[in-house]
Amino acid sequence: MKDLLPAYAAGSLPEADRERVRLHLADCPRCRAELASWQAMASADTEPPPDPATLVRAVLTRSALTPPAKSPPRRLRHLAGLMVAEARLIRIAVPIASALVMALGVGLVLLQATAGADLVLALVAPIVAAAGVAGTYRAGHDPAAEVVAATPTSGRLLLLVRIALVFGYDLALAVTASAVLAATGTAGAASLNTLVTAWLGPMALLSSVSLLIAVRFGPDVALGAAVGLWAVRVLIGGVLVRDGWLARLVVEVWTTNASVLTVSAALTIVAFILAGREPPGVRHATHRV
Amino acid sequence: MRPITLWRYEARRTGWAAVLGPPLAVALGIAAALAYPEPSDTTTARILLGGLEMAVPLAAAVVCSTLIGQDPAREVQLTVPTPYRITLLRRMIVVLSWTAAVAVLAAAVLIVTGWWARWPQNHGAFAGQLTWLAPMLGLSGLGFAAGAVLRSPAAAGAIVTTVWAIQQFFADAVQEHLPGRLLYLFATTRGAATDDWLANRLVLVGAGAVLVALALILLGRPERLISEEDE
Repeated sequence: MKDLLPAYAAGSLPEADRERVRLHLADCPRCRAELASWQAMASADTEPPPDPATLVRAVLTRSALTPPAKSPPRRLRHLAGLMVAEARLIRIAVPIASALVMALGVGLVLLQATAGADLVLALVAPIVAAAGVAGTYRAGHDPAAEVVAATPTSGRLLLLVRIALVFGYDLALAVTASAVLAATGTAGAASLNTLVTAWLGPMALLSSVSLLIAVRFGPDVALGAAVGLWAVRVLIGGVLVRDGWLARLVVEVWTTNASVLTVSAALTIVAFILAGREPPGVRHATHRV
Repeated sequence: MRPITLWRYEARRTGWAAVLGPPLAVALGIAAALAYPEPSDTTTARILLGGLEMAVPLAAAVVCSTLIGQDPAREVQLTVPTPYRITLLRRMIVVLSWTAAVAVLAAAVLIVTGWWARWPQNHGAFAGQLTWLAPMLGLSGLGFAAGAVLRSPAAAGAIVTTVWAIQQFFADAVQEHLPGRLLYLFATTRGAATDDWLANRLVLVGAGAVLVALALILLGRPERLISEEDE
């Protein structure tokens, strides 16, 4: 019976069927309700369409008076999307190992006060960040390297995002470790500012060197070079040779000052300039005329 | 394929860090000895042997920690009849052999020039080679095992350098008890108990062998090596 209701509402049923439907409707409230909806639709079809000029004017007026919906700028949203996508590409072992190493350093300083907190942080934080940065740049080994080379998104931007994620994470770890040591008073008279000053410059310098070498020679060489430079600092000016001109020079370079930060920034810029070229592993991924 | 061709191929795959690392480590020890402001025979000999005991093993261990996880032909390696862990073991042997060659040459020069004998705890020209061999095997085994577990050269390298640094900064605390003394990497130049030296060296060699065996067991599951890129 329900199948006949549209035609009944439109008035197009034969007389016999119309009588049958009418008798059924008298006893069936559900079909009466459905018929009412069909009749509403049928009457709507008979109404004249709105005047196009009036309609356009109304829409334009409404859009002019309605403020735009508040949403972040397109560029920021794009950047946030890139950061989320790049964060997925960083192996979970890297942040876990970085946190473990930093926690181990803090734990040992808390348990054994034989080595100063500033010295331990000045030696642990830079190598953690440099190793992370070296492992982050994987142009030749990245499974998506050829796709990246063929997409409109700049390789430099992708590298910047990835480095910002890794370095930012290690920076946050080191600040947290410094805050913990300063709060517990293990560092003696050293304030949070003193502790941060102990590792910030070396961390920036070693990470920038690591990035530059990774871009030019690959992550393995970068990690080896970073560890080598770091070992020079530990052995000369620490474990083996404490005094002398070479020890003083190494210690001077391994501090936070304007020269160290400027050199770090310059090395980072050079690394990004070099990174703009197609990675060695995919030199022929795109064609040049 | 002739065996020599295979080994030459593996040598090329190990990279420049493996080739340059050990000679630079030896050079670092010599530079440290030259830079010492108040040189004496004993101090200079300690620094030279310290370079062999501290810097050379670190160079080898960092390279070993990067062997797993950086091979661009990993999928191809997993399809060939030779198990990939055997290939990785072969590359580790190449790295350690080259490091050993450099260390033996440096030790021979020190022995011939007499600097070796000027450090009182040198333990002789033959057994004394455990000065660099034991920490190299122990630390390299740790790097290889960390690489197999973490599958990230950066993370494995950070673990190796941290263990090395902890033993440097907290030498007294680490050697306070017997287990720590047996696992201390720098027992020749910074050892607290001379009597434990041989036991320490043998334990380090054994620890390195155990860690490599554990790594090979882990590497027996090839799907772990492939799935790392999907994380």
